[in-house]
Amino acid sequence: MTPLTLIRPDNRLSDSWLASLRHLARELFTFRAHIATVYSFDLRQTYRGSAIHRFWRIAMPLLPVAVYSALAALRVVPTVEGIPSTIYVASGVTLWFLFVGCVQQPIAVVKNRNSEAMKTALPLSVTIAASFAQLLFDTAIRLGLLAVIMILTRTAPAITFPLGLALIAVAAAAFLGLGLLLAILNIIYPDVQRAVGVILQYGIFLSGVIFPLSAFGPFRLLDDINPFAVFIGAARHLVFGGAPVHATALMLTTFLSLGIFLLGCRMFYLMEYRIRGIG
Amino acid sequence: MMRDTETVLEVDGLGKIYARNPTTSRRRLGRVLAQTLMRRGLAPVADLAPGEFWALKDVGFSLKRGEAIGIIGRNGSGKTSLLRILSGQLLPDAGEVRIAGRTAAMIDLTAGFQMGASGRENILLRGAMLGRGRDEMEAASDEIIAFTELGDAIDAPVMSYSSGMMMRLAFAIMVASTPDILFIDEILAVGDFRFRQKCLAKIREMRERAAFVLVSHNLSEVKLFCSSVIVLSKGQIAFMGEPEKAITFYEAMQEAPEPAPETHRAAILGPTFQNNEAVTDVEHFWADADGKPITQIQSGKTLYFRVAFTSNISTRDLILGVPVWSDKDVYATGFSTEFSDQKFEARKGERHKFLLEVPNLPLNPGTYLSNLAISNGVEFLYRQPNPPLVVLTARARNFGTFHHPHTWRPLR
Repeated sequence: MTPLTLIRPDNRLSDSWLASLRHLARELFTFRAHIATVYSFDLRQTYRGSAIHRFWRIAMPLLPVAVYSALAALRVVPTVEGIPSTIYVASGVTLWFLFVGCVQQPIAVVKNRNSEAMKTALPLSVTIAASFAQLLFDTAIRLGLLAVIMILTRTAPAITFPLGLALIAVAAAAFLGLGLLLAILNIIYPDVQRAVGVILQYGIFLSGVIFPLSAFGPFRLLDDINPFAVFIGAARHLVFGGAPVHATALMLTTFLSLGIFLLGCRMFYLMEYRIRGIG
Repeated sequence: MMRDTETVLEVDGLGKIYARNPTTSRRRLGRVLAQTLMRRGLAPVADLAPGEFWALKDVGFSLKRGEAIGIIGRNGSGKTSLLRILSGQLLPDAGEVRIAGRTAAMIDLTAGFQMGASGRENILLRGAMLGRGRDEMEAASDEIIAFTELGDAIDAPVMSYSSGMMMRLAFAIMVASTPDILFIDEILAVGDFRFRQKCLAKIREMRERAAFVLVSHNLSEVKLFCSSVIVLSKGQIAFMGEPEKAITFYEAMQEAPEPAPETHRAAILGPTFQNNEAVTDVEHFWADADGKPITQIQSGKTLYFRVAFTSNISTRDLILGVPVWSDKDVYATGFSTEFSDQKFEARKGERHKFLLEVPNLPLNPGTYLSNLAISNGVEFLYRQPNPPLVVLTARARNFGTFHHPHTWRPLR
């Protein structure tokens, strides 16, 4: 049976939420060969031409973790009871860069590839998915370092460790959803990317990544309202133990996060072909 | 549903709005986002906002398997936008497109190529962009590489390729993906003559099982390959029908070619000069038989050129010359008194008038630029541009700058 394609101004608008998700998933599956090829190509391309490209590939993602961990080890920044300071910083920095990448990557890809997207039938969702190679590789390297630090500091994961991993996945999905929403908004209001960039550049110091916010009286409030602080704190506690996490609050946060992810995917699905070529 | 099983493409009342300013586009997008968020659906376009225009309007046609439709029109007439909508790269603002089967588009040469990757890697990448699997493209890669004739260059980064090499690769990947409908935009203009013939032969080979939408400025190509042709003008279908008739219509539409920019004209016409001590009050213009100034003339008619000036010197060897260039910077011809049987002269203090007559004007359609040069032997007295002259024609086909009457006949 020959597939029939309809192209209309109201394409996708009548599709349900479930259909939106199914369609995006199908797009990613259909173009999985492209995503895989771009992943392998991107990883080979980074630092290509450098004589010590393998060194840079490993060293660059570790650099921020190493610097902040060193500061924590030297007690330059306040530490927290219950978790070794290096674990606190290494886990915080790893999660921070993962979550920030989930927000910034869709914005950057939609902005930079929008004109090119108009010239190909490749869905932008695929282009975004294909752009995550470096972020995932860097995260894997940082997790490797975290594992090494755990061995060195003889820190065993807590019993709630699997819950922690699930929460990290939920948080990454929420930030990806937020990134997709902001990517659309950035095409309409081009200042969005700059504003997000500024906020995230300094947000690392206000998100409980390197030091606990509770150490700075008035900033303690951010522990409860800054989504990065909420997720990083909760995940850290679930993975390594420490202060107990409020179960109801965690459930609510999880539902809210999944809602943001769904909204982001839905809006991106509806607007994708409408933003093409505008910029 | 399609009208019948052989129809692979149907286009109804297609429209696309563009704005000259991105801010206007963003404003419209903001309204669409608000409507979407409030789940109001997409309101039909009632009015265009200031700065917006219909890049395509009420475009409709259908295409069956084995057919090829050509789209011709001036730059900015909406050809590429139409192709982008048909190939699913853009959404229309009005109308509907129905496509039965797999499509492949060759609209932008570099789109989809990873410049840092080799040609071989790009076969997989671009194939994947067309929705083809890695295995499928790997199986076809030998055939693709053989078709491109790129040899060892297939393992070099695409950024080192010439546009012709890139076209070879893009075309080979596209045809290897076995589409039901191919959208091709002007791209075949890039390759060398021999490879273009190879591509055209491949297209001919695919004609029976696939349908084609071909945008081209090359009217011979369009005439050769298309079963019907659409002439687009300002986003609307000005003509749709048999290739020959469409081309004739299109040529007749070319009545007012866009004038060459001033800087371009100046570069073609060269330096200007006027010796006011020698000649003053110089008037010169292209004219009709009644002596009235004209800016357009039909090819084959009689063209006149009038010159009048007051001479402040007496000349021994007055030469009047009108060198003529096409606006593509081709030195087309010159009309000079230098080789005339008649001797021309000017007397001091007198006003002189001259008439140039060119019967059966053989120039092909286009804009022609020219100078009037007045000299006394080898000494230039005056060299200034004439108003541009637009030559029109009702003939369907032209080659080069000149049309010379000729006939062909078979010999037995």
